[in-house]
Amino acid sequence: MLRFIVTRLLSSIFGLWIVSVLSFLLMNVLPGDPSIQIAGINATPELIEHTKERLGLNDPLPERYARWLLRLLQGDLGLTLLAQLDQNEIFRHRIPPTVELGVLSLFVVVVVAVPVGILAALRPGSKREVVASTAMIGGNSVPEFLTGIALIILIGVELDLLPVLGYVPIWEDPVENLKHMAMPVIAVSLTTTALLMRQTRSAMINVLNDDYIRTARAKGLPARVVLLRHGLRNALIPIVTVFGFQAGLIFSGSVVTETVFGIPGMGRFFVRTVVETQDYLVVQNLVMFFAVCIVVVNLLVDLSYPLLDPRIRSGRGGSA
Amino acid sequence: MSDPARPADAATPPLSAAALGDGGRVREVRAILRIFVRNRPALAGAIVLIGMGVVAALAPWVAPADPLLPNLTLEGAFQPPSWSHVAGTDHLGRDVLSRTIFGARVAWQVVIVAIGLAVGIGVPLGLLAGYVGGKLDELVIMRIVDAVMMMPGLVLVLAITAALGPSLTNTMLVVGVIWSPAYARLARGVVLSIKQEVYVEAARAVGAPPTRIMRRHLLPNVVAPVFVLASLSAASIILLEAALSFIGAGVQPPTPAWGGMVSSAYDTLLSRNGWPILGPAVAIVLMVMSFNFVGDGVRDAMDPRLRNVR
Repeated sequence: MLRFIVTRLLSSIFGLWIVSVLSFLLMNVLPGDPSIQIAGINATPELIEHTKERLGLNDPLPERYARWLLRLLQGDLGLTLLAQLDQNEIFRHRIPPTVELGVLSLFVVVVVAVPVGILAALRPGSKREVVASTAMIGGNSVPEFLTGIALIILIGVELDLLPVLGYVPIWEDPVENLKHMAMPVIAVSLTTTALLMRQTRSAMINVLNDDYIRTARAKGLPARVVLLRHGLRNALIPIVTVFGFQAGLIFSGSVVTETVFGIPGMGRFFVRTVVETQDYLVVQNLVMFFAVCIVVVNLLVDLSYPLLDPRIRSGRGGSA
Repeated sequence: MSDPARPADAATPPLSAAALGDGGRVREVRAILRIFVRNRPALAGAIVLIGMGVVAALAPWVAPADPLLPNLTLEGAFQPPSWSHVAGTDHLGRDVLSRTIFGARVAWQVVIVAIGLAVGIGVPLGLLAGYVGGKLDELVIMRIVDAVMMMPGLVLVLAITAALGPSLTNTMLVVGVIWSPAYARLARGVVLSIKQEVYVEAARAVGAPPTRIMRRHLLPNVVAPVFVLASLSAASIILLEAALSFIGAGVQPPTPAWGGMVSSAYDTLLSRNGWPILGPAVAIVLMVMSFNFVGDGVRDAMDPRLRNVR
């Protein structure tokens, strides 16, 4: 058990390290010279050279990488390139909305997708089930920004039920906060819910065909017990695995959704950095933020395997 | 514009192809087509995609108006749908239907170039990694592939766009590169599962060079799964492109791209009206949904486990 946890922890850290190398290389090897950006297009070669020296751009790549990584590990994100603002300060304000959006969306996905997926699995091949799975593909085909805009038009403008734009921190006014979050959460979670629903359905159909389900039914257990304790319990591993894959979708969905709803989070910050300043010092940190979010969700998923499957707990099940 | 819902010359089912010869291959393709056609949503999706492909290819002749021609009179902008402007006009008075039709060109271009690039980079790498194997494969290539695949495409594409700048060319290139690890992993998996087969062993025994083994014996087995992945990934690529141009990091105005059209119409949604959103929104959903149905159909038709060949 302990061995399992340590292995998974180490492989998460290894994955993060690879992402840090990739993200650093992307931002520092690809064409585009930040010193020209700072010094201006009309700068003399001497000024550009001076700027390069000042930014440390003339140092060898490994040295620059090591410098960035060491500061990052100490929790120091550095300054932004042009305005010289403290990135820690920016991140501190921008992280809470994004994390809240992500966590709420993951929660909604599970709460909606799993029960509906189970219901769809009860009668495979029935008309209702065909309609449901077609609707799932449909839900999977609408981009987040269109869902968001449709919600704004319907619920925000026509029905006037919820505020359309903006964000209120949860520690200032929890009720207002949830009101502002409701539509973005629906927009982010719709696609993922459709995917997880499909996965739940097929996992349940697989399990419900097994012999022990027939046995459980034959010995007269109530349908609910058969379904939940014998069926769902065994279907959970593939469901949870897919859930882990989708963490990435949820967080990249927040990039677009925050733009639609005007939420001042990391996603909107990312978009503005890319479109407006192209600040490579910020972008490499942003990539790391999303990587950390995804790794944390996947680590939690990994750590739930031993709880779900006693074979993994005793070390006999191998990797799930 | 070629149409991706065309399993014909590309289809070679796993394992059987080498044994069957050309006659068997034709029969296999027919069997696949038959199953695909029986899948109603997939067939409908294929027809819609063919239609959208034709319209995109013939855009200059099909579009009722010039997509870039503004009408800056007072009544020109934000017209609701009418006979002269079926999908209305946008904030600059341009015909939304024409812009949507030209936007289909952007979407098809991105899908075709990106998938072509992803296959072109990913499949050779995967073949090499799977066939040669060893430490390079286990420790370097697959770890990088895992790390890239862990990250959401949008985040990676945005990061690269920050360095290269937003444009249609960059969108196509970057999306292709981002998707190549998925194809590499797929090709590698297929190769690992068949490289101990007798016919590969035999080819090696008679002294066939590795390049020939990869091309003649391994590659044909990869074609069918790659085709399935391509049709499934097309939907994601359309969504990615739309998201990119929506947030302003993809195709730049005035070139009509669906995401960008929705974005500029959204800016004026509350002050004027939402009509200009409708055209590109319907186009995105229609295309993505068609690719999803076609992808599902192709997978069901080509997956031998789901089918009784005899």
